Amino acid sequence: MHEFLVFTISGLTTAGIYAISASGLTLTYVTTGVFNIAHGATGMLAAFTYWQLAVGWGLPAPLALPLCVLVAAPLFGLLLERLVMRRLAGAPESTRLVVTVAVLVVLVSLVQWLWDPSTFRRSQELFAGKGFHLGTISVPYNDVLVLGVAAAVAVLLWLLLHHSRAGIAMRARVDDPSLATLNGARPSTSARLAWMTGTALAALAGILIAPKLTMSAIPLTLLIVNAYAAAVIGRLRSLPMTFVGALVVGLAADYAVGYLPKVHYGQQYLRGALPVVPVLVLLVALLVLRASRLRGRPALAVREITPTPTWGGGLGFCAAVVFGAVIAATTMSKADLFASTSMWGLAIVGVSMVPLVGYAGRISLCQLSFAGIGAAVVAHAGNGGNPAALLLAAAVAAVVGAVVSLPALRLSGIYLALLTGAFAVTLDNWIFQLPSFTVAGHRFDLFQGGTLSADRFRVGGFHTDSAKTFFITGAVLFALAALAVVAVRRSELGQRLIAVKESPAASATLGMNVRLTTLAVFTLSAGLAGLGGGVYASAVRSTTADSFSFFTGLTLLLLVVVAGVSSIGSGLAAGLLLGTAAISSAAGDSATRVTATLAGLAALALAANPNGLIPSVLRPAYEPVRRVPAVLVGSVGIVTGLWVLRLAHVVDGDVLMLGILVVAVAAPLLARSLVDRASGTVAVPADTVASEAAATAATATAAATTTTTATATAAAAAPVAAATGVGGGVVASGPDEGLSGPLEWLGFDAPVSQTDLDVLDARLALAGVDESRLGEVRVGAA
Amino acid sequence: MTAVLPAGATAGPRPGAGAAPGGAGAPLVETRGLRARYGRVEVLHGVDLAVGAGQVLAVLGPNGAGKSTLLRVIAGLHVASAGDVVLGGRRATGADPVDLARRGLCLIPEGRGVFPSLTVRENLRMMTYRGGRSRADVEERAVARFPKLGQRLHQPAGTMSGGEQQMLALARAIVADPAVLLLDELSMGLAPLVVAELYASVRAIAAENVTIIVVEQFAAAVLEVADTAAVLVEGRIAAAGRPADIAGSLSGAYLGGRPARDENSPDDASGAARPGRRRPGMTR
Repeated sequence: MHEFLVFTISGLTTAGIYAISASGLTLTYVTTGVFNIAHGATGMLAAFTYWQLAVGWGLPAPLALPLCVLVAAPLFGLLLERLVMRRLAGAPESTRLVVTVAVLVVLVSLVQWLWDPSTFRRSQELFAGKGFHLGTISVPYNDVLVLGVAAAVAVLLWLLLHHSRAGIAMRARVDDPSLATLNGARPSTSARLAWMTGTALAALAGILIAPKLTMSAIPLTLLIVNAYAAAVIGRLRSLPMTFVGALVVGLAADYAVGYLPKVHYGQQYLRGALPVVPVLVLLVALLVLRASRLRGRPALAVREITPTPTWGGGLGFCAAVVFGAVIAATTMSKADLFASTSMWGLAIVGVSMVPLVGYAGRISLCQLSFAGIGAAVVAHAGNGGNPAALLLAAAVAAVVGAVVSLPALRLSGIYLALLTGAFAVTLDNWIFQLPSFTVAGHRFDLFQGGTLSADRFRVGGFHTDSAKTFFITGAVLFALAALAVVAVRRSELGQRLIAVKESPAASATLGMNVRLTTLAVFTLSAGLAGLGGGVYASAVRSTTADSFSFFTGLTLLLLVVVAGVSSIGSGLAAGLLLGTAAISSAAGDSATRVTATLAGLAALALAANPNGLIPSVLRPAYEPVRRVPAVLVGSVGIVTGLWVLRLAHVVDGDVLMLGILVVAVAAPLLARSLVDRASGTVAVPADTVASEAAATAATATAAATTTTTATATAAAAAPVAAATGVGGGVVASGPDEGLSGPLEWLGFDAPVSQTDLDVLDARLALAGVDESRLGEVRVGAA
Repeated sequence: MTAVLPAGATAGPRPGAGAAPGGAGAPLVETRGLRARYGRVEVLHGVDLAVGAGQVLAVLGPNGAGKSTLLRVIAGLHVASAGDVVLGGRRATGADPVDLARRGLCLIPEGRGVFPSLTVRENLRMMTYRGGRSRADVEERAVARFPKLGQRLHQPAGTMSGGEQQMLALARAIVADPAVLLLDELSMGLAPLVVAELYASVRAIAAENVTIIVVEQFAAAVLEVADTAAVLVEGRIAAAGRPADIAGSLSGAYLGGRPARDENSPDDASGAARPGRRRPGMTR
């Protein structure tokens, strides 16, 4: 009984901290519509700042605490709102999520940069652990203070939201932002207030929870993630229910700490489950709450485009990838090549996100965990290089993916992200760390007590043991995976995915089985991720569970999204950045931090352009090359020639690199000028297009349109001109190229002049509609 | 009237309901050659309108004519691409909607102009931004106008019927004494009886000297209330004048050549007209 009371008191304290954190999260979510995945990271940053002030510089706690919570944190919130969150208005939910993930990644890297992770730090409880005795139980003053603060936060928030005009305006803004403006409530004021309060609460929670473990960026961030469970129990809306949720999570966590070690059976398996308990609560909460309660907010405006890849484009891309891989494999040094083989595995994992995140619009944070499963399968079944192990890896991951997706079918948006995140954390912290266990007479040993070793596969007499052959094989496997994704997009399933993403309701009313479609895409992308994990494992030969951690998964997701999650090339980009020596040679020891920071910073830019770099910058730039065969053949010829010269040791590696670079820059420029000359007249005033496009919600391709070739414009303008009879200034030239692509690329970037409008009006019998001609108009229209 | 538009609005005489404002000088709300576009699509191609202080202007027109855009531009929610909005003789093009709202220009947008998850009381509280009125005062005035709301103060607005929600929107609008009221499709999705009730309130508000621009697709109800009317077709003023004259020419401009039916039947139209009460303040 005594023990029970002790755990209850400490559980209540934990609950109080979770409640503070979760209420801040809920507050920012309901008022700004942004679910701040980085909430925990903000708290972590505050904890480090507090440590620096109180322990590092020896400031007294009564000074350091208000300085952190009431000054630094609100300022940081203000900065966050100003620099990042403000631009997210009207962005789709997936973009808003990814941008906050980016903030998390940046904050974690920043903290690891400022406070060397290898130094041991410990934050102190307030009152230096002193307390009083209640009967036989000692109660620390710290715990009493935490509970008091939590209660005060509850009351203050309630007063703010229901009894102050600023608070009511915050809630009004959630209901209808423009109506709130019409009522005289300034939009920026509400958002600013929300972010400042939310950040202050995150900071308070972070500082209070830090003494419970050593100061380390990722565990602290993830520990506060547990508050998400509380927020979800409150359905991200109700603050009282959030406090109840915090109570459940806090007590469950501390009872687990107290009582799990007493379970004698299977102790070695349960030990790892301790930190996962709140995550399990989150899983249960997501599963138990009724689906209707968990419907995410509808996307305000779809700014994303999902162009359909053509077979020609897909095959061309894959041929280029394999060609490039052959050049790289034959010219790179052995050490560099070995350091780069892992890129293909990561690239396949990256491309596995394209159907799920890009096409279906479902954010999954556990793709890398599926890869971990694939890696484990290959390590166990691939002895002697049996290539069937890769297929088995894909199959096992697909099955796991299907099982995970079953509860996820009714979820979308943030709830899905949280569920998959919870799954990834569970796998990462518990399942992958399990010692060997036996089920039905078969012995499982997932990560073989830490390190996995895998053989490189061989088919008949074909061995992939050498780095060279493995590199090229990896490229071929990636190309196949990319083609599979192209096939999916072009199939009926692909159309269904887009339909379900853009309007689940309409899809359901059309008789489409939304759940089956979702299940299919989950299974497919988990399978691809498993394959990627398998390739990764055999590429690096020995790997640990760390390679498949939740945090690495976030970085991979960010890279893919930044590159353009609807493009198969995004997988390659992620693989290049994460899996090669490119960054580590430039940045040395802090390579992972550099990558994470870069990815995070780039992802912050997503707010302005949710499509990513490939569809908005790269593809339009290289589009002309495809249209001018001479340039295409010429550049391939030059590169091949340089490569042959390099193989014959006539030129060295630097010349080859330089040559490829020159071709890569010159080819699109040359092709565009040729195309321009061929099509003649149409010139798109870039600045007009940019400003117009920015004004239209639908044209997130602003950058694309400015760089789009005149060919596309001319070809697009031709049918429009023909249809309206405004042929005048536009010369329709060149064959109709089988216009494919979003509408924005087709005819809507040609400037519409007043003359065009007048001609249109005349055609539609609308010109000069006024009192005197009403009768005439009626005749004209009939 | 506590709420005040830019100086010109209050400086000029505020004519009473029966007065003829012909000589009163500048109109309170004016648009001059107003153009507006969404991206590349221009939806208003130069709209000139003028409403005298205390008058009711009805803007009629089919779907997509640009009526709502016109109101949004006047309220500052959408920036005009050319032309000017003049309020009380002062150029107010591109003014911050918040500033306009706080100075007494009130738009009730299309649909239900309420915050569904806020209670009725909190909805009314939002209005205390304008005019600096106290909470109790605002509630008292709202309930005096719409007694039904008094029983629902603690109910989330979204759970009330459509008619009650519009009442709340109107109540919220008037408690702050706006100088200009812009109403967008009050009748949308409501039963005819409810619409009649709402427009009765609008007439009462108009009698208190509030300048009103009301946009409607369905003419009958609004023409009874209006002093002047304009027909907007494809972003241009197709006809303007007294409600009686407009009612006659409506079928052509507005139903796209179809024979007149229900609301616009001759009986209704002649009944709707109240000729000669005030002189039209329209230009063009």
